[in-house]
Amino acid sequence: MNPNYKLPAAQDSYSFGFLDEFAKREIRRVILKAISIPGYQTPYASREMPMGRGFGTGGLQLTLAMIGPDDTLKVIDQGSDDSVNAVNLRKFAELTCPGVSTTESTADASLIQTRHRVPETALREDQVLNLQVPYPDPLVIVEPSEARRKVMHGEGDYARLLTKLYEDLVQFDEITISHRYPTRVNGHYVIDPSPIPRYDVPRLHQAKALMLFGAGREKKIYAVPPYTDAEPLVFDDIPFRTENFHTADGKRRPCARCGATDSFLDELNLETGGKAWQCSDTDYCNRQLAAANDREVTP
Amino acid sequence: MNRPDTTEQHDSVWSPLYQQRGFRALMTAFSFPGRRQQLPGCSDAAGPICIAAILCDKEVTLADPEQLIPSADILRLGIGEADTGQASFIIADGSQPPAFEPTIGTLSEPERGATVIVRVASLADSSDFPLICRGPGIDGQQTLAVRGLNSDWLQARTHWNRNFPMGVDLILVDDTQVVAIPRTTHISGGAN
Repeated sequence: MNPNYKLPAAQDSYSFGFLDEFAKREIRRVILKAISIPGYQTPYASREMPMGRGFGTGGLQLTLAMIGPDDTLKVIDQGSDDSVNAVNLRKFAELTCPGVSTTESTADASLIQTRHRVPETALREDQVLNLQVPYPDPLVIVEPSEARRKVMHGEGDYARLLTKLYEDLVQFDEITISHRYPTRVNGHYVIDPSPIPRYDVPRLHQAKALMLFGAGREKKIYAVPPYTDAEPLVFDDIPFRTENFHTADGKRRPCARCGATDSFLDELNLETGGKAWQCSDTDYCNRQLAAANDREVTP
Repeated sequence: MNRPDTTEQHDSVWSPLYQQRGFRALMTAFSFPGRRQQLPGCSDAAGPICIAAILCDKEVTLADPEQLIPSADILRLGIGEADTGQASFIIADGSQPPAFEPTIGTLSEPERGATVIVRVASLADSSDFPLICRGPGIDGQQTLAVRGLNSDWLQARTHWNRNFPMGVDLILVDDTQVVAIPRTTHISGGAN
């Protein structure tokens, strides 16, 4: 998007946050019900947005329904503040929410909208994480009928999902779900935690911040409240494993840029044919780099 | 328009900016059940009316059996009135025992369970019975001090919420403060 772009004068009269007040109020009511029933996919109207469904309209509607001029917004896509989706959604919020400040720093943000990652920096009680969700229902792989899925969710009946995981173990000795790992919230509902890697799933458990999930195309909002159990679906004798980024000889790979060994790494294919590993969370990587530079300057 | 640079009145409970701020207080209240939240200041309403203005419009039904909301504000809300057995929002006086049976939703649509806005005398004063809350949103336990809540409410609430996910969510409100008690919160203590 052209950085100097302004809405035409005739369109400059949108409501604060683009959505009209009735749309916001409906989303607000649904958010409160979603928090009250942790993990339940609460249906909502999902208004048309001036961008394609699947572009993060669910997460964006959550953000626009709650944002106010006092807020500081951070938008990330796969951990990065600078990828296409994040830049455009942030720009949209800047155009339609005058007075709102935006930031790339996780610690400075009051609202964080994210696609496919939970930030490395631990969140606080006064922050809210809005996740963009493409497919909200973990049961869709075992049951095509939504009416039946709703009953299965209500009864907490996840036998068929566990069978799928069991078949994976029989066939491949490993549960073959790399992202969107089914996670049980508060001991009842199983959610699709959006396409976050397995690495981020433990961050939902007993987190300090409210996490809201918005699926615009599928018209669902669900929540993992703060201090709530969120446990990945596993078997008693097979513990949950996350990505470990070990080399063949068992050493943890560091980030090629900042040297961190405690972050989720992206695998990059280099022009020379080799591979490199780098932090996916750019804010975290920059902070680690700045801290390392500080240490060099002050001996 | 609710642009912050306009001179529109922002301290009215009907202004979009007030409702956004009020909603954030409510969202924080639901995220941390039992913890008191301050409603933003406004010049033309208090307590239950503020909550109704933030959450209710013509899309939802509201029951106000004790007529705690003046009829002019009911008109302004534009809500459909309904019986306590069907309404999605109910406004009630906490000093009286609940004399109604709200809808608790169904197994496949638990979000249809009612939200009950309960007016209490004070949330700041701990002179009455302290309640201990546990559950999602609470780190360990949370003490809740409330004055002017009939203890029958706690029994009724336990009865309404006996089959999760069905249930009823409560919003306790005095003139300026609010506490949310969603259906997942377990309350103990308060025997009197």
